[in-house]
Amino acid sequence: MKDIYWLGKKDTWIIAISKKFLRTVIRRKVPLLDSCIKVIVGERLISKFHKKYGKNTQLLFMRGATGDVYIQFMIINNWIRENKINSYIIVSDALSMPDVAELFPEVEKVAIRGYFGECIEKAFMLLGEEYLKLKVLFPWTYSLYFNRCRVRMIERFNFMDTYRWYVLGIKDELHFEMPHFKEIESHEIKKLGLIKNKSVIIAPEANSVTQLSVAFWNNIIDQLKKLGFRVLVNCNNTKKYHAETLFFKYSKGVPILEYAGYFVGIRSGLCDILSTAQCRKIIVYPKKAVNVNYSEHRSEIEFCGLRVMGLVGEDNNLIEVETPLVRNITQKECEMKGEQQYKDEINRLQNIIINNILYK
Amino acid sequence: MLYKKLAQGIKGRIAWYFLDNKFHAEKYIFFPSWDEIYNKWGILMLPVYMRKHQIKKIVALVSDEKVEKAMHCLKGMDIVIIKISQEQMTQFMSYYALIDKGEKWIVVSVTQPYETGADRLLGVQQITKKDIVYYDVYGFTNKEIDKEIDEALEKKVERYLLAG
Repeated sequence: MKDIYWLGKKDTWIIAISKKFLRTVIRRKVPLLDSCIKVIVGERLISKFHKKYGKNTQLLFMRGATGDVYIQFMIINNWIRENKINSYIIVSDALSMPDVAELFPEVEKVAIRGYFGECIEKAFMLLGEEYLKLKVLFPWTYSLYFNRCRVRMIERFNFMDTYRWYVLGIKDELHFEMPHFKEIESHEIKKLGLIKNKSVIIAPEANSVTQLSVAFWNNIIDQLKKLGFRVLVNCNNTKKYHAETLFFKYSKGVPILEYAGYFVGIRSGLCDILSTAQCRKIIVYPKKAVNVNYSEHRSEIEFCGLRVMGLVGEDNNLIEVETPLVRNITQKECEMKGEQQYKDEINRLQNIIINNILYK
Repeated sequence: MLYKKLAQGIKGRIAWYFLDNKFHAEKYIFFPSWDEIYNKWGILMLPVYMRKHQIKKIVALVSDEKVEKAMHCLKGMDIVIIKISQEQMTQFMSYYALIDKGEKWIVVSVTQPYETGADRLLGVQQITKKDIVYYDVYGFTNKEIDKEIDEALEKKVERYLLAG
């Protein structure tokens, strides 16, 4: 995988800062000029790819958060097969792409900087998919502002449907490309201090869902520790939680979880990647609220549940639980009434988590 | 192709400057599509949209004669209908591809200025073009709006759009 800088040249920091300053000024003061420049840069970049990989090579433009990138890697082969594409390359400005790509080593991909992603997108908007031989795999970014598709968000669809029908238009049955996880070495297990089938990995953070309180998690961590479990938290901050932090590469995620035995997390892209792990998985989703406009964003079980999306089969080890304690990022206010309901819900959720760990 | 499209976008910007200076409307609606069904629902849902958003004046830009005639069925509303050439329509759409005009513009299409991909959902889970206009073009969420569409008006509009 290569990182493409401006037509192969790496900028010095002075040039880079000057360029960034100039871009910001143009973007703010003359947006039309900014867009025109982006189209030209985007078109040139795409031409460069076509020169390098062949003019008939199909470019697949990958964007989005971790979960999106993972799903795109998993299902893109369906589109390639159905459209009889002989040669293709994935171009992506997604930050998580290089890490997720390790799970799919056979696919050829190029990482580009965010600005070039914007340029490719702008070129697509003016010149179209056909002319550029470019397929956009993540068409619901806010920057693709024209009549953004809301119909895909209605009750009749789940998140995987939106990829299958709306993004790719796959008619045949969907087949998932299975990820290749790396084995973990015994010294790594020792370093992490994992106890086989008696360790709980907690992932308390997500981009598209609000968080549960630190106190909520610490209560669970304390209870589990008392019961003899080794608890690790998958996040950056080491001081907030009463447990050590654990940050693993995606390519080692499933083996680590299978060794640990237990995973508890808020619904996030990480859950997609870890969905194939043969261990007890407890995933927390926001409860569907009454007065929320779901045409922008949905993350409740019926839309993006791992089971609903087909990422896990009849896996009895997967427990999916919804709660009004967490909300869609687009939902401004919590719909719970009063402190008592709030406390009751905290107790209910904590009991579900603890019981599903104790009685596997 | 690249510079031709860029030139179209710049021409669209100039045309927009004169258009907006002349009419000062709250909203402008464009009908770049030749698809009768999209255009039909685009026209029929417009009065509902104007009521919901309390829009008093709207300027409609059409390049298809049939759409122009069908738009005249919308009586009792302050709608200025302007017939423009296909080339001018393309210029406006190219400008929209370059600059987000979503606050002022409604474009009854899912392919111009660029393909949104919504067409791929047609027929899947009984999705129709009406649904796409409803959710994607007008951004409605309340299905009750269906009841507000005038049946007599629907027949009139259909007659114009589907005429030979």
